[in-house]
Amino acid sequence: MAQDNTRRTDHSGIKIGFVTALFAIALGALWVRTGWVQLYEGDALADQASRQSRAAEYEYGERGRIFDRNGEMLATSVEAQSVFARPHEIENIDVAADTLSRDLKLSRRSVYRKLKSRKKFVWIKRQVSDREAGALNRAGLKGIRLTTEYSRIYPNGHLAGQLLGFTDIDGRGREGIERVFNKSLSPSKAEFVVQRDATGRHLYLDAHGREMDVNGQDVRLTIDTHIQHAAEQALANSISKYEARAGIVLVVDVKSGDILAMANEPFFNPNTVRSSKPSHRRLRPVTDIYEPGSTMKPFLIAAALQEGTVTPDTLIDCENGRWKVARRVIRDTHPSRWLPVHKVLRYSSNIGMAKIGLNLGSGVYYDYLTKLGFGEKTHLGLPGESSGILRPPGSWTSVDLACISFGQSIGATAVQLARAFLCLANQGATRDLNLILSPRTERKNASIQVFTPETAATVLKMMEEVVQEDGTGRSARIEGITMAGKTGTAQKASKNGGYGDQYLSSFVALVPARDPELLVITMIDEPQKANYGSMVAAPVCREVTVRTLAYHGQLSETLHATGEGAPTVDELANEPLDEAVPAPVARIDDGRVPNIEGMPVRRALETLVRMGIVPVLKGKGMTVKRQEPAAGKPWPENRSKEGTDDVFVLWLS
Amino acid sequence: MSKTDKTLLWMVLGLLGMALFLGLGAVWLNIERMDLAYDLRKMEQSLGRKEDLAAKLTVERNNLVSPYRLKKLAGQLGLGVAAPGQIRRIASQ
Repeated sequence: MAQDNTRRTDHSGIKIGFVTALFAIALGALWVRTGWVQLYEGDALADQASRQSRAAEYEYGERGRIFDRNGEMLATSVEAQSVFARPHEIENIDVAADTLSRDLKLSRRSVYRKLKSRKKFVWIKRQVSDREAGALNRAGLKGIRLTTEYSRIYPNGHLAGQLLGFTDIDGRGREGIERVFNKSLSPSKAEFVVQRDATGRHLYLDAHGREMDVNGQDVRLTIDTHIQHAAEQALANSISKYEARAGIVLVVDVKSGDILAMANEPFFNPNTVRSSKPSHRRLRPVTDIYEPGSTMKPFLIAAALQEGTVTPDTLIDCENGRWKVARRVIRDTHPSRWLPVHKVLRYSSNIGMAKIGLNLGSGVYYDYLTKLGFGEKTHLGLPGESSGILRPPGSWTSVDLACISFGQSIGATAVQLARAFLCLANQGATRDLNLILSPRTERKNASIQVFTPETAATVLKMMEEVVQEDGTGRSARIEGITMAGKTGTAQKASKNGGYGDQYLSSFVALVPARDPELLVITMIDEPQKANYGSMVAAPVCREVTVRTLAYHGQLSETLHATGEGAPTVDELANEPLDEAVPAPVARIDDGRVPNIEGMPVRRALETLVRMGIVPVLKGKGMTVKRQEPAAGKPWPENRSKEGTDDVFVLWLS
Repeated sequence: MSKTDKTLLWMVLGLLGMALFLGLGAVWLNIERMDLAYDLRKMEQSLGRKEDLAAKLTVERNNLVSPYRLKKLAGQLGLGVAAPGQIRRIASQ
């Protein structure tokens, strides 16, 4: 037994070595594999893992907004849902077509045709309302999906519609400001990485990529919505009253050259582009060329005064209203014989102007017209701007010069006319018109002194006579404020050659007459019931001016004086109060004194004056602290109504 | 067991405990981070909805205060634009 044991070979060492070697190989293989995975395949695998757990996400900004000069919103973008279909995913086309046509108010036939399409993606309806989107969400149709887009909204409807322009369904500016500033208004796109969980939901990873501003840049115009509205209303009323074809109103702040209103009729609502006519979308003050007529006369007078060919008192023979130049007969609507130059303008004598023009000469007048900007664009930057028509002086005949002298045979846009009058209002120096407050556009500042300040002031004085004296612009007169103005009644060229029976009635107003602050230009195209600028256009100018001045609180306090500075409360008691709009009145109940304690002094004064009593004011302040007689006492009927007696005393605080 | 061995043992146990603690801490932090990521996402969506609503309300506000509507309302209340002679500027005495 012991021999057997000694004979048996001890293999344990080999076995242990074998097992150790096996383990060593296994471990080594693991290390090799680990090394392979980590070192060789590491990057690729990490990339794969990253792709599995992360996803790219895009953020689309919204188109920039458009504001007026006071920050009132004129155009903005809001999120809207758009409906699209993946036709191959739809289970029951009939049900889907029924639901879509009902909820989206589309024809079933067209929806059905789209759903039967073999395309992978079909738009059903873009930019649907929230209600329609909600209805579709509730329906839960398979293969019908909603995506977010931005739709353009113009909260004020047709207000300044042509100026703002519009965008197409893809948010690209197609007209007006939307087109001019399309690049800066357009939003950009941000791409960033988000984490994704096992179910595919996106999670916030970090802020990387979100720092950039993807929204488009806002644009701020010089337009004032309230003045624009006043201009549009006045224009619409006049056009409706005189059954005119179209109309323009421009309001310009003289000190800055800012265009405060640019109204066009017919109106255009950019919210409903599809239902509008192309002619309604035209920005007429910039695109349309008119023969301005008599509103051009102040420029010829200014040029003649500047050249010294006439003085305001030079007498001109106006030929009793009928004069022949070459073979053309010129007529005046107010026939006169001898008129001084200032009355030639006041009564708008065509013959007088033709003679002044012929005396000045075509080359000289042409130079002045080009310096004033006629025949070239105003560079407002709006699309489709016309240069007007100003032929070279070499081609002018004597008839042409005579006609150009009273504003015919020359074509100008409303903005050109505004720029020229801005020169007169700006002491004879040209000034650019502005339409954009921000972003500021680079424009070369090339102001030219066309007329001396004295000449400009003389012409303004003559234009003041047109309105304030017995001139053609009397209907534009505003009580308590001086206005310089000029009417225009231009014959329009007919399609068959020559002049037809249609007119352009216009009026230009500068307020106040000396050192003007406001320029208002009105043009009414083809009025039917009356033609004269004094009847058709001047009242529009007057209304717009009154409303603009009232809005700025610059209307005169009195009907006659134009005094500067604010009166004291004692002075107010002697001022008459106009009754265009009835002010709130405290009622006299049973002949008793009303309670006016606590009222603002202005309201109290108006109330008592309306009742026939001018009270005596005591103390300082804006509010009535105490009254005598007290409220409820008998009304002091039979006593003096003058404020000198202590009939009614108000103590202020 | 010598004193040195005991010290070594405690150190190993301490290191293992620390590793366990750090591992659990890492797991907890990861869970918290995921929760936070979900919350952030929800808040982002909520912010987006509110911004959208705010934009729509701004449009509505602008509709309501548009000059056309204000003039209509003013007309109903018997108010209108001041005419010459109806404005008073009062200076303090």
